[in-house]
Formats: sequence, C-alpha cells, structure tokens
Amino acid sequence: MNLGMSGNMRRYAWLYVMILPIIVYLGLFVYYPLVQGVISSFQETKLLGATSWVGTENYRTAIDTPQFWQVVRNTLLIGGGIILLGFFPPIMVALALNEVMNIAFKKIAQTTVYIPHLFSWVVIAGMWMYILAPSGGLVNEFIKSVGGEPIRFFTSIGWARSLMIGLPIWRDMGYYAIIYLAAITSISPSLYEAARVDGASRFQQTWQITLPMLKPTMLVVFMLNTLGMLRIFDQIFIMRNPVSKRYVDVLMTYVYDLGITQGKIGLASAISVMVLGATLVMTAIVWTVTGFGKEE
Amino acid sequence: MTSPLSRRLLVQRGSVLGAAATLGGQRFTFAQDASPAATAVEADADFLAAQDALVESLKEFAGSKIKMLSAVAGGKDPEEDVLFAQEFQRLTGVELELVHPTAEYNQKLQADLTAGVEYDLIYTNKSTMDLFVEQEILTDLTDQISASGVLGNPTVIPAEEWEMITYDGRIYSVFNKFEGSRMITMRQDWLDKLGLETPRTLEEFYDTMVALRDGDPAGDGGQPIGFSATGTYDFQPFFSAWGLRNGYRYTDDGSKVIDYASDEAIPVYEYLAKLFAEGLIDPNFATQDMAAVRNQFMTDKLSSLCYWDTWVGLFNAQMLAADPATEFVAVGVAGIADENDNITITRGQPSVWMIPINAPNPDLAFKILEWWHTFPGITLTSLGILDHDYTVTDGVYALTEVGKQHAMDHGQPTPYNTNWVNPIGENPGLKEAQAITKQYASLDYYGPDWDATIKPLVDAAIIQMILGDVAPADGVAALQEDLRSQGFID
Repeated sequence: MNLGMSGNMRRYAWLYVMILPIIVYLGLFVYYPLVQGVISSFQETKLLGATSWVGTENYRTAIDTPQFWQVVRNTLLIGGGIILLGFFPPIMVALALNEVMNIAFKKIAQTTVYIPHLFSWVVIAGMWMYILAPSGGLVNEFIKSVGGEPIRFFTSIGWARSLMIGLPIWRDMGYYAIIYLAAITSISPSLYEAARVDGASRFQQTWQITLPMLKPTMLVVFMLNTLGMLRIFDQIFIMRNPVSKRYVDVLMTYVYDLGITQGKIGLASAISVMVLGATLVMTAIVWTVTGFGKEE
Repeated sequence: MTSPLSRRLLVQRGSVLGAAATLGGQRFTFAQDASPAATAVEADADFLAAQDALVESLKEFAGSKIKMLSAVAGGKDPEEDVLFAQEFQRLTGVELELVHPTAEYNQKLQADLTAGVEYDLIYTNKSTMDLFVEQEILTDLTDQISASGVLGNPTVIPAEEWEMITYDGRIYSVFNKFEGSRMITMRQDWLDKLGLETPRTLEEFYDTMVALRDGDPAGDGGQPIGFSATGTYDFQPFFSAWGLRNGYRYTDDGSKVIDYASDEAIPVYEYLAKLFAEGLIDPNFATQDMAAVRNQFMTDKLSSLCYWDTWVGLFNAQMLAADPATEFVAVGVAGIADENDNITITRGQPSVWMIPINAPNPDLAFKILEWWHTFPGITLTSLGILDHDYTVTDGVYALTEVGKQHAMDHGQPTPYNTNWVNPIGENPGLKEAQAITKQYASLDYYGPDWDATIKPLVDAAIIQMILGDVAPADGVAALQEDLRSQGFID
C-alpha cells in the first residue's frame, strides 16, 4: 500500500521525533558553523561588531601568498606520507597478531600496540621530545655512549618532517591493527580449511585469502585517512619549533596562526573552505579510483 | 575602615604605608623592622585624595557585578580564584566573575569575543591590543584617563609611559603593571664560591661559563650548563655588545633594517656558535619551554639564563620558601656594553586591561581599572588574599606559607604606582634587577611594517647559525635574501 509522504510521516512520526535531537545537534554544531565559515570567507570579519563583504579577496590573498603554497606542499608531503607509509604497518601487525597462538601473549601484544592511540598528542610529543632530546635524551645518550654524534631530531629539517610522519603512524598503528584484526577474525574458517585441503601453505593462505578478504577494510581505512589528510593539526602544532616551522607547518596550523594569532578570520575561513573543497575532491577521486562501495 | 581624618594624619606623618593599610578594610600600621625593604615615602597628596574619592565612589556600585577575563590576575589555582573574587568583593563591594583560563589564553580570548561573550574587562598584551584597535572593538578611554585623579597622576603612571599604548592620540587600555626587562640572571652564590667577578664583557662571560662548568660549584660533581634560552630574544644581552636589537630599525635614508639579519650581527652568531659548540649553551634550547629552564636553574643544572627581572626576586623567594637555609642567590646582570658603553636590553611589551565595546558595565569597569592602581588594588594583586596569602598581626604584615609559595604575585607583582611601598619588602634581588631595567631597558620597535611572518624566518635562521648547521656569514646572507624577496627589508 502506498501511503504517500504524509502517510509515511504519520506512520513513522515517533522515529522522526527520535531522530530530531541528532538533526538539531548536527544543525547547530556542524552545519551552522560550516555555513558561517563559508560566509566569513567572503567577509572582512571583526571579532566584534559589523563585518563587510569583500567578495573573493580572501581567496585571492591566500593564493597569492607564498607561505600558503609552502604549507600546501608540507601538507601533501606529511599527510601523504602518513597515508602511504602508514598503510601497510597496521596490516602487518594484524597479520602477525593473528598468528599468535598464546591467548595471553596475544592480548598483551594487542594492548601494547593499542596503548599509544589512547594518549593525547601532548603526552606523546612530550614523551618523544624527552626521548629524542639532544642532551639527556635516551637515544642521544646511547649514541654518545657508543662514540657517535648526537642528532638534533626536532631541529633538523629532514628529521623533523620524518618525525611528523613517523609518530602518527606509530601512534595509530595499533588502532588500525585492531580494525584489521577484527576483519580477519570474521573471515570464514571454511575458506582456510578448503585451502589447507588443497595443500596451501600458511603464506599462501594469507596471500590468497586473508589479504583479499581485507580489501573492503583497507578501503575504509584508506578513505578515512584521506578524509583526514588535509586536517592534520595536533602533532604539528605541539611539536613544531622555530627551525622546523617552515618545513612542517600544514594548512590547519596555518589557518590557526592566521585566525587565532593574527585575527585574520576571513582569510583563515577562506583557506578552510578551500581545504574542505579539496578534501571532497580527493575523496571523490579515491572513491572512483578504488571503486569504494562497489565491491561485492 | 578608619575615617578620612585619621588617614590624613597618617599621611602627614610621612608614611604612605599607613594610608595604604587603611584602604585595605582594616586599621593597619606597618612596623619597619618587620619589613626592612619597605621604606616610608612621601605619598602624593593629590593621588591620596583621588584614591579616597575613588573608594567612596565605588560604594555607588556596591552589589554590582563585573566580569573579567584574566591571564594573570587572580589566584594560583581555581580554588584560590574563588578566594580572590571574594577578597575583591570585600575590598570593592563589587561582585567579581573571574574567568581565568589555565592555558591557551589568546585562543580563549578571541573565541569568546567572536562568540559574543560580554566581558567588562579583558587582559592582553600589546600585539593583541594592536589587532583589537585596528578592528575598533575597544572603548576609547582617552578622556576618562586624563580626567582620572588616579590614572592621570604621573606618580601613579608616568606620563611618558602612556605613549607606548597611544594610537593616533587615543588610548584604549590601562596598564596592568610595570613591565620589566629580560636580563641575564646568574647564580651569585656560585660566583662567590669560585671567587669569580660578575662578567661584563663577552670574554668574561665565556671565561665565567667555563669556570662554572668546570668548577663544580654545586658540589655534586655535575657540570652545570653555562646559559640556556627558549627563544632568540633571550640572546639580546649578547647582541647588546654590538649595539643591535630586535625588531625594525630605519636608517637615515628611510631604509628598513632588521638588526638581527644585518651583517653586523654575524660576529654575534659566531660568538654564540662557539659557545654552543663548546657545550656552554643548552643543546635543548631550541625546543624546550621556560618551565624546563627555570627548573634547571633552580636545581643546580644551569648557571645563567635570560629572563624577566621580576624572576630574579621570584627565584630567590621560591628557593627561600622551599629551604630557608638555602645558599641559592640569583642576581640580575646587565647585558654587555657596546663600544660606546651602551647596554641594550629589551623591556617587555605592555600588558594591559581593556574594555570591549560590548561591555555591559563600562563605567564600573573603568573605576576598577583605576582601583587596580590604588593601594588596596595593588595589595590584592601583589600580596594576595588577606589571611590566606598574608596576615596582619598588630599591624605587621607577614606572608603565610601559601603566600611565600606565591611570592607576592597575583597579577601585579611590580606595580607602577610609586606611592605604594610593599609592606613585606621586595623579593630579594628584585630591586637591583629593576634598577638595571630602568637604566638600560627599552622597547623593541616593530611598527606597522612588521609582519607576523618575519619572526619565524629570523628565528629559524638564528637557531641554525647558533647550532652550527649554517655558517653565520652564509646564514645572514640567506636570511637577507629571504627577507628582501618578500619586501620585509630594503
């Protein structure tokens, strides 16, 4: 029976009422600020009082600023590095954990690799800055003890950028490994039984069954990371210093500096809108190329 | 509170201390022997009259409420913030809603203003004030200040100081406190122990740092680091030897020059690179925060640092509070003189209170700004809260254990008002350090041409040169090219 739209509304009235809070929440705290941000990007915004329309001037200012292109480059290098270099380690960890037969050891190992994900960036940055400090740091004291020259990790341009890529990978490896591990445990044991009957080795089972069956999870993780690529902020904001700033500042720290430190809210909003647009474009590209959502 | 008559009598006796005490809500007299650093001074009669009038006029606002966003004024923790607000109300009759973020102050300030939160008073520094003035979001206080018997009195705030916060003849803020300077602070007890003189030249600084490193002054077998820093401005006392300073300098032909990026700065970087290479400068200086440096200094791991003059006193007070038998003595040292015998150290940018244009009670807010610079206001924001931070017994002031830990800093440890004398006495070493400030410190000049992107460029180059990653001559040349290509220097 076709009830029509109004009929459906009446029939499912309570469901609509129940969904209302989340609609209100999203409207107030997500879409309203989003729309305000887009509006601000076309304005010269003051902290208090009247604003004035400036058309696309904020966008043109951003594009004409060399610093903008420097942070775009940094974002692509650091964000891209995190996505590409961080893609396989969690899979390898998950596969390794899956092979552990001792349940107690497996749980301890799972917890151990997951723990860094629970720490805030403030804690992680403090810990690694202490470990890698030029004087008194664990790593450099060891290097000195074997006659080496200490490495200034956070003020060496090459090292600083590598750390901005490496530490997020280390921090989130356990988290993604747990996701992959959950996916592995849901693979039907009958597939492995059939492979064993056919004489497949452990490696062949992994290569021919586990990895293909993980493809949907890999796509989800890759998509999530792509969505977040242009929005990396915390680790950069906390670990940057005057020497590394130029080489590790990313779009979001640049937006913070412009909007909060310098009060250029219109310009910061314009860059944020560009980041939003670029994220949507990148997601669409990844979606199309990987065939996300079309897999059987 | 005592009557105006008794207050006049006290003033006639030449002791401003008595007048200060009466305004605190109790009848106090000060014992000089209990506070040797506190000496009686002649208070300005006009100021005292204006102070009386102000306190009287505040009665009209009894029961009113004021909302204040503060980075410095208040308690040392949320619990003491509550006591601070209660003490404020006891002294003024005005209820205080104190918003006192523990971190990310500027973010909180700008986010709240953008969100339309209505504050009567907000605290900030000069660079943020520059932005607020440009955005026209502050109440113009020019006429009120000149008409004020307190703020308009040069014994409270010297007339020339207002120039620092004047924009095209208009003033939009009132100073929070007298800003000191960043100066080299050394361990005097270590110098004495090793029989060393206070260093005055670059060579003497080098020799002193080496002697302190190798002389085991702490007696624990350790080798204290010679000098530590957290930013390039901490090296200003060394730039002083070549007469250079931070910020812009305009030549006679109008060209823009940044001293730190000039050829004249190359010898400074060569000197500092030498110190670093020989382990005399803290290897962690480029990444650590000031809390870490302070901790090193107070735990015998560091001989000298560059820090605010106020901290000379605070270091000594805190170490004495922790251990009354401590040998620790910090002392402020003027920077190194140039060939003309001039010393150039940097005075802190003004910290100020402002009334936003959306303040609900601007008239009351201005009265509180005046009150801030009166004796009871200063007492609250320096000594702290009566019977919590300090006590008064038979007219004698004494810090409690809590007060000793707080070292007489509740937002205004160094008031402008020359009529006020601290009844406890200044923190040890502060007076001498402030004398250095008054003699040698001046503001860096940035001006409207200074862009926010300049500092990161200069800082990065300086650090790389000190670390020895780049030869000073090459580093300065590259920095000049970088700055010139972006139009920051001519």
